[in-house]
Amino acid sequence: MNIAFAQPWALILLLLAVLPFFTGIFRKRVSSWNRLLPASDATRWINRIIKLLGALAFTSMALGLAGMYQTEKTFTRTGTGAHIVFVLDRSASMNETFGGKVPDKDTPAKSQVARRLLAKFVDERPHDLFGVVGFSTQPFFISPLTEHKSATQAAINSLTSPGLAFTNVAKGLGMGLSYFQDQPHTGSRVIVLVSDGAATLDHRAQRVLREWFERYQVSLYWFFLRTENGLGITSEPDSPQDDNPRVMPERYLDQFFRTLPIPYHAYEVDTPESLEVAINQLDDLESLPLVYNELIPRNDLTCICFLTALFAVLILVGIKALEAK
Amino acid sequence: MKSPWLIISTALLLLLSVLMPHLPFPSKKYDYFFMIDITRSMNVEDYQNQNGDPISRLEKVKADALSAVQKLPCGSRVGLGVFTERMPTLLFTPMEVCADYPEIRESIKRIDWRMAWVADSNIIQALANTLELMHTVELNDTTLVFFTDGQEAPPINARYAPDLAELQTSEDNQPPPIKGLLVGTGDHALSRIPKYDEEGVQIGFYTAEDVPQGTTFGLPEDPSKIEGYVPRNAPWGNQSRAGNEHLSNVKEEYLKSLAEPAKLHYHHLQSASELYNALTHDDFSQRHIRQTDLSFIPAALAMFCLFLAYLPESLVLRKKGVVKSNPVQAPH
Repeated sequence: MNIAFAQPWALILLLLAVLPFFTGIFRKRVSSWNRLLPASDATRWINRIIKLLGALAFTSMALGLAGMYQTEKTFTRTGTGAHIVFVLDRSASMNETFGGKVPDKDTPAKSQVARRLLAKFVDERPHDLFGVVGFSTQPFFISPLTEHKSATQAAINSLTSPGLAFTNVAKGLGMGLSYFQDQPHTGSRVIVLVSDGAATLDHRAQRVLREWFERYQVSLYWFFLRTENGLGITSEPDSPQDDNPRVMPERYLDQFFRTLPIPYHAYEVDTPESLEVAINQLDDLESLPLVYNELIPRNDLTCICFLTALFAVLILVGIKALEAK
Repeated sequence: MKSPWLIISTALLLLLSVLMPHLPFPSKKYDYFFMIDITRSMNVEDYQNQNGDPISRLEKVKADALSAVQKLPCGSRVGLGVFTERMPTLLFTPMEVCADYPEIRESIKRIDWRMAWVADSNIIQALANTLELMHTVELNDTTLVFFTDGQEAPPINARYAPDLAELQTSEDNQPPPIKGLLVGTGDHALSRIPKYDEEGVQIGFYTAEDVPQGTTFGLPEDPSKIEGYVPRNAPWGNQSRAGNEHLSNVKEEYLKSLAEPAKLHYHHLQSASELYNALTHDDFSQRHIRQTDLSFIPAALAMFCLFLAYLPESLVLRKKGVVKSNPVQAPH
């Protein structure tokens, strides 16, 4: 029971609780001789109870006015879930539709489709922690790993703002992986890379990424939003000359991801429906036992205080009604 | 005074406070969209932290914005974005400042000049694009808070600057103009701009040769004033120009000249409390109806009644006057 007060200064009113021990609610009556009214055990007890009732009424009113509440608590529970970091591509091409056109009313941009489906996914996974990273030429930190869904939703909304420059996958993944640096290892750890392009990784970036993926044991999902007629992950080169990372960065990025010592799933997504299928698969796969914190919001106790006071006062009213007139 | 009515009214008032529903009550809240300049000139260290150590403009903005957020009434919301060159980007749409405070704090703390995806710094274009962005992402009712030092790099040709006044006016006020505050950051004195290498290690300061000292974009307004003007081969003259563009201070005059046509407020960032005052200007507050628990009013009255009921008779009598008490005493 963690009790706290919204207006602690009102606790000074607790002093009034001693009042019933010095004075009463009854009229003082003149009696010819005190000995004529001997105090019996019963009257002594009744007198004490009346005083205690008065003190109880004052105490609970003071506590109520001070705004007594039970502080919010976090319970550690075990369920199934994951720590998921979305690494979102914010490059300029995300503004286009899957058909590679300027979006209109009926065919939304890739970024809009991704935003809507990710937002839905976040809502459907109550115990997961989500973090969001954006990247273009440089990575940017958007929101930390958190259980607050409202914050994650606001961060995913960043996809509504127009895309920026190029696609620098390595730096985005690097920042995404850095989220797991100080996290306890519980549940699944997932990075969801949402991009519509790829880039070549230099040797240094490859080495660092390989090391980090291995150290943090993060599985990788790549939702590749393929533009119609564009190159995809599984595209075969037409000629041996084209078989190089400059011409086919997607193919080579995919090959690099396959060599990582972690679970890796690539989904080539070219319609809004196929993105939904990919997200559902992620939903099914990532549910290891997870220790998560459940937040019990603060519980206002003022009403209970006033009820207790009412109870005490009602009894006093009853006793007062019995007072000899 | 020991009448039963006092204690009965105590009971009735308590009953009222238990049964009273939450009443709609007007209160103030604020919705902000913080847009923070992350161009290089924001790295100039011309502010001081509490220990008197120099901190960069960006660090100052982050610290002061955060302490302002901390003071905002619950129900207020804050969104965040950064800009570089002329392109703003949204990091997150407004979040509630009490429930999501840890996330807001973490995101503001992690803003870094190295997030910048390009290197130029075109303040007026960025401001115009931010206003447009706010319409695109439907933040029309949100107050823009635009943090910048006003350093245009390279210098702009005023002939091609966007018309902020036009951006902020629309037919029938649909969409309504965006309210906002332009926050100038930096000291009035000129300082050198730090220069970093690829790894983020400082390798000195920008020198006069590193940066263009004047604009060479488009056509000059009045060619006759330019030395060595040749319409085709040297529209900006053939002389090298000297200037202070490699040094930076807060360009207050310039920022005010941006704020005025755009109908924004202007504030020079000095301390967190002054920033908070500028932010909570009446123009930016929104009235909203909040379900407020007012049960403390009847409860307080109830407590007063019970107090009166317990008040010793002698005290009450003294208040009522000696005249009345005398006849009672008389027969003795």
